[in-house]
Amino acid sequence: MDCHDCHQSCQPKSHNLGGKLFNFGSKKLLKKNFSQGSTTTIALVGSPNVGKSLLFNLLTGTYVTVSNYPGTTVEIAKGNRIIGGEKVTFLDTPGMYSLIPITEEENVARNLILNQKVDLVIHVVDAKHLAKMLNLTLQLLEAKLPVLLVVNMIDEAKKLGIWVDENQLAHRLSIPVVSMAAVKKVGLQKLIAKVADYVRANSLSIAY
Amino acid sequence: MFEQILYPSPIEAAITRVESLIGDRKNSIPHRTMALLLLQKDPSLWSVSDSDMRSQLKQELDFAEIESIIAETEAAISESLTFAIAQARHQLAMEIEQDVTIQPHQQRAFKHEWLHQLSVHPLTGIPILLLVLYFGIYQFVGVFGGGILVDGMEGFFESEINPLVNTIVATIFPWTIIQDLFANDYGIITLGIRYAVAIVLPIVTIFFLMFSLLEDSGYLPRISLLVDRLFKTIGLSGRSIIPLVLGLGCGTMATLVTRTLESKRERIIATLLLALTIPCSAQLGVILGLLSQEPAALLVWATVMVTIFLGIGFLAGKIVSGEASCFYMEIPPLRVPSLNAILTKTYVRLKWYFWEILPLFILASVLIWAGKLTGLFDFIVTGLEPVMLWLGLPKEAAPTFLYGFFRRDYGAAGMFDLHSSGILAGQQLVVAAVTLTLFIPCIAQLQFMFKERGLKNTIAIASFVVFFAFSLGYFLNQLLTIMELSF
Amino acid sequence: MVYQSFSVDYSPLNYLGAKTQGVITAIRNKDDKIVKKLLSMGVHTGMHITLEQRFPSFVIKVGQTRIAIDKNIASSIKVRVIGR
Ligand SMILES: Nc1nc2c(ncn2[C@@H]2O[C@H](COP(=O)(O)OP(=O)(O)OP(=O)(O)O)[C@@H](O)[C@H]2O)c(=O)[nH]1
Ligand SMILES: [Mg+2]
Repeated sequence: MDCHDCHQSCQPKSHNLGGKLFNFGSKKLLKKNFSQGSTTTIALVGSPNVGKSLLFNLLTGTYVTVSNYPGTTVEIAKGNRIIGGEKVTFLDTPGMYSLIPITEEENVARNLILNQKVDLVIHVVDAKHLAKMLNLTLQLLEAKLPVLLVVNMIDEAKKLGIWVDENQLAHRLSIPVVSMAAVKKVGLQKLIAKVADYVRANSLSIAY
Repeated sequence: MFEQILYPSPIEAAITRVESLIGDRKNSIPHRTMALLLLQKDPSLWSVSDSDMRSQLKQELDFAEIESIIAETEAAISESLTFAIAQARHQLAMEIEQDVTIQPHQQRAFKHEWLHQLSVHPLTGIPILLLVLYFGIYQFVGVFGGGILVDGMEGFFESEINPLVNTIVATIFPWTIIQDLFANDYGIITLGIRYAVAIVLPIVTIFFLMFSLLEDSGYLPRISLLVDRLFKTIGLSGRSIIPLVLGLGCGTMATLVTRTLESKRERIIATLLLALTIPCSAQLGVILGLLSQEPAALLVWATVMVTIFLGIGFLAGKIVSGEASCFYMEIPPLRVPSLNAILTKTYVRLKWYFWEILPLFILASVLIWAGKLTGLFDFIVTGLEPVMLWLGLPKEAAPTFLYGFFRRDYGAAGMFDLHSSGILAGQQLVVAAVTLTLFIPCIAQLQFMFKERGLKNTIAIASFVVFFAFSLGYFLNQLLTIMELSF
Repeated sequence: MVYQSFSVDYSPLNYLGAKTQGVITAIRNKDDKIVKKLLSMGVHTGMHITLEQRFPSFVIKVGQTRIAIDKNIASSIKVRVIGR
């Protein structure tokens, strides 16, 4: 739903970018487009209305629309932050319930992570509905994507009496897990530290 | 490493068979995932339309073979494959949830639960919706924004800024031609900037404030569930309420948001209704502001607009082909909006909007100026005059329609001007309001229509809109004359 | 409810009264997309479901998730009633 998303991604200069999402031949170009001068591209994905855009704003200091209904974001937005001494590009995506897309904008997110090269997928989930959300996590892992799980909205979960043990979850899935309350910036530093770990490991593996 | 999900053995067998069909083709997606997507009939892998996914393998794949694998496996497990695969995954997800969370013994509810119940129960929900519309749209955007704020700012411009600008410009440039570019009736500052700052901006600000409030509280999904049944009769679903309400702010943004709608059919109908019947906030504010002093006129305008919305929607629902729309919407909890979030959002939107319109408004002033200089403007206006007379409008209204072509909000501002100089009144005001509301979406909206719906649909919708707007204006004028309604 | 009498333990959701609780026994629709959608929104067989309201739209609660659906989608959810 975005004036400014659209400001960012459908203005003439980046107009071709939107078009390219839909045709495969330009994979290389797109990758370059998304991550000019940075070594790491990270996509934020997850069900609609779990707080991806809010988290994106916190991480990148830019603004894309955040609102309380599913389907707010319809286009990919990108922003940067220096983490671990490197420029990291974050991509905010439209919400998707599963790897099999049904609406147009779900397709956008799916194509991004399956067909473009993203270095890390941050899967944002709602702590109130963990089982439902893990469905997509499992699909992402099945597709052998590098995943970092953000369990968001722990403030609301707490009010409903739901507690999530992030360490145990990380252990079960063998992926890094951070629990957050993005509206209150709870867990943000921890997330950034985890991303920094990743960036460091990543640049090492490239160097050798 | 995380162990793979193990599906029931018939499914595993099917996966292996499809994997071998894929062969050792090189692609970034693991074969197991590709096989699973194929077995679940992933739409973009199966559909004919080109997509990233498909170009990775479609041409050489034996789809008939996969079909038969699916059929055999479904026979073996006597269940749909999609279903069985999802079920297996769900089982594992549930186990993990059990292991890593502490759930309350008794399900608890949020504090605002009662408010949710009130907002969706038909007996209380519909009156609440009407109240929200009355106060949010009519009182806040129309009467306060379009009336009080615009009158104030506009008056300030007319009495303070314009005379000042006229004098300053006159002292700097001795030539009338240059003076007219910046000042006087059609100058960049006295017309372009005045329209943008004094008429459009206040209304749009108020609208976006209200809309952000609706968005952040989580009320919009609740409206959509209330209106779904009604919207089904016009070929849409409750989900379309979000782009349509946003369209009351800016049709351009709303056209982009129609993307979230489920079917192509719904997207086309919503785009049409946005182009034809939904006024943008500047129009809405000006019209509500002007007509609120004449309740009968307001009633006629509102009745006509609602009737056309429902009527055209109903017909479009019959004519536009495609599957009937289905409605599902997750209802998020109601949340107390944070003031900071609302202000930021409104500010960002306004900034976008303002920079979008300002160059156009200035350009319009320049074009009018150049057009006047060359006589082209007068030529077009003269061409439009018979149309005005046909609609029963004074010929001075012609330029306003010309502005409307350019930007909806520009046309609305022009109408405000005409009314304050006493040219448009009563029946004419109603006819002009209706025709201008229906009339062509502005250039930016056309551009987005083109981007989202393609050239063919855009031309079809735009020509229909122009034709319909003027015909309806004509008939409305005749009808009002026959009925001898006076406002 | 009149219509519950013919199949008490296996009814399409749209035949049930508001506030009915039950367990989902099957999800079936001739449109495959609807089934996929429900599955991906966390509506699976074996889960506890509450029909909160049936007019103007059906509102169901499955786990912590509240979803508004239309009659067509409601009819694809088959429920074994366990109480009101
Ligand atoms: N209480 C609480 N609310 C949150 C939290 N994170 C996000 N929200 C709210 O959740 C809503 C959705 O946030 P968005 O960032 O728009 O969600 P999204 O995932 O981008 O949604 P889509 O664009 O629709 O896919 C907003 O109202 C946020 O304020 C959180 O940690 N706690
Ligand atoms: Mg978003």
